[in-house]
Amino acid sequence: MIFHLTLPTIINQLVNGFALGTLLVLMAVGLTIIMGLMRVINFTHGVLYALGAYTVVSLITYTGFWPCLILAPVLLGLLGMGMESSLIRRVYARDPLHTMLLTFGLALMIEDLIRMIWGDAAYPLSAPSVLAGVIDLKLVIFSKYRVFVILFCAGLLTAVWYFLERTPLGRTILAGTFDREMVVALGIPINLLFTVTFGVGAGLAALAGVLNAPIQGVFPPMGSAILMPCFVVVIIGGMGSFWGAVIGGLLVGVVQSFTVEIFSAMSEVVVFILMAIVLLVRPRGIAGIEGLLE
Amino acid sequence: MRQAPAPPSVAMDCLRMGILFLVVALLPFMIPYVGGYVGLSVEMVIFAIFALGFDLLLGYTGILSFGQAAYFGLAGYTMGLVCIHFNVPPIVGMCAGVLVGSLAAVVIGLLIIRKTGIYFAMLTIAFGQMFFFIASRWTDVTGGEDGLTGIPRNLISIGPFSWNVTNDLSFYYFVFIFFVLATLVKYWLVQSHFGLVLKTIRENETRAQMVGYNVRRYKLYSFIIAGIFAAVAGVLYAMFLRYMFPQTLDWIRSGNVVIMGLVGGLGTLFGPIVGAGVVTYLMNFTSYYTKYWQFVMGVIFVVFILFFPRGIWGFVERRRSGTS
Repeated sequence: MIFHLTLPTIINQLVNGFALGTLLVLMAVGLTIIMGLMRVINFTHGVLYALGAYTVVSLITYTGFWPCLILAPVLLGLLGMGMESSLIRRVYARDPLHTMLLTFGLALMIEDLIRMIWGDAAYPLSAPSVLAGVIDLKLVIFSKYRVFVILFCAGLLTAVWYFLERTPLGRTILAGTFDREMVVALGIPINLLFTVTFGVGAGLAALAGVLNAPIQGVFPPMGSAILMPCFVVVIIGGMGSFWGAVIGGLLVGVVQSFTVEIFSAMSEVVVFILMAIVLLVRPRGIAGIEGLLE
Repeated sequence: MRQAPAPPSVAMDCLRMGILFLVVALLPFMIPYVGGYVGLSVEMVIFAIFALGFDLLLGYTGILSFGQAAYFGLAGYTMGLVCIHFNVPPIVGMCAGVLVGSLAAVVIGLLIIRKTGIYFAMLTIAFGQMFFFIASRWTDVTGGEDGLTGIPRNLISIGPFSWNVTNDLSFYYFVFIFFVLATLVKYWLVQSHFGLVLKTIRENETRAQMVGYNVRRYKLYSFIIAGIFAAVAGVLYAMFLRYMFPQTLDWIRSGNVVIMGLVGGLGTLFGPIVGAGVVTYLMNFTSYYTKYWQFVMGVIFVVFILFFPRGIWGFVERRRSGTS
């Protein structure tokens, strides 16, 4: 089995792994920041990702692929903010458990809503024609689209990093993940912060959905399918940490891609083994914040 | 928090439990009048056992596990595999299933019990999914997506006694015995010193620690007991269907148990039983009329969280004690 791993295969799987990994990072960053700030698991993250992909399905005939990269995150970012400010906010005064269960209920509903609107069948989507082919370097061949996904995500994540680290709003959100009480005490409207964070997270998830649609196709349970690797990424990386999500995402992406090549039946289980190892060696996760939820 | 109503006396509780057992014993005869069938009542009671254990964990100890289906499914699969491959009587398979399911809870509990709140919840989901993927991918052993078929349900024999449970109605009373035991064990646990410590942890973990209790150990015990309840329910479920499939281990299934607990009323004696019954019944009912039953369940769940967070039983109790 392992003998198939020639240099071109290794390079190819690295590209595949990074494409999957950067998409996972995009999802996990939103998830982890919401967890750090709001202390809840947002189960709607998966369905927002799925809705992002379905936006492409519905809009591609009218607008083509490229505008979806803007439209989907904006639309679903707004939906996320709407959901947060109309429903989820109502239960903040209670145990965080209720918030989490509420998002679970909403996720169940939305997944079936997707089935009602778009049906059970999967939609195959092809990459936009500019990126359809491969880059042939004689020794190795890359899929153009995957290379594009990696570059695009890298650029976007740099922007997210800049937003979190260098803008006042982003700094406030990060501060909230470290010490929420202090942020409230300083007179910052925490509810607004929650809404913004939820919206940004939803937008990033939707974008990941758009980008992944040409790679994995579009199908109703795609949201719950990606949620699990995302959880693993957050656990491996450490909750509430941007860099943790980046490291965890790339690690999971690459490990999974190589396992598909070597021993495909293990490709889903291997990430959990990775998670168990990280937990044993470093229970907080690679870049976990000290004292957060411990 | 609300003022706690005067705790009902043990005699009163015994009376209520007696009525409960009577009602549940007659359930297979009543259920046809509301559009059900005997098999549905079997499922309701199996999930009641599952939910009782889960309530000890969430309702009394205040820890949320979103991966209880792992122990449920693992026990069911083990029971099936042991019976099929070693050709042993079902009762041996049941013991093996419960043992393996509980052991998994011990191992995973030890690994993750240090974590709290959502971190803990997320870890339970992740480990639960690990079992799900093993069941769906290890095709040679588990039958993969097609499921594991040929799980026996025929003669239960212990020593000189034997009982044929092939028929759904006789199997119902076999499950009923476990249900009665589960209810009594949970009642006893909740009333005991152990149960009081769990409630203390739920109300104020730091204080429980300060008073000198080994909080982590109590939480671990609670987690393991919930795992045992789940495992018992799991083997019964495998026997009932004579079949196991990967979705029994899925986190959506774990979520269903959370829904049952919340809809019925967490941290109450009868809540999880009512919740398991109502939710199982509604799922069956809605899936009969529409394939979008998951949507209906989602709506019901959201409505309960927003407007009746104490669940059906909590709502009833509150009305009666007049503290609302």
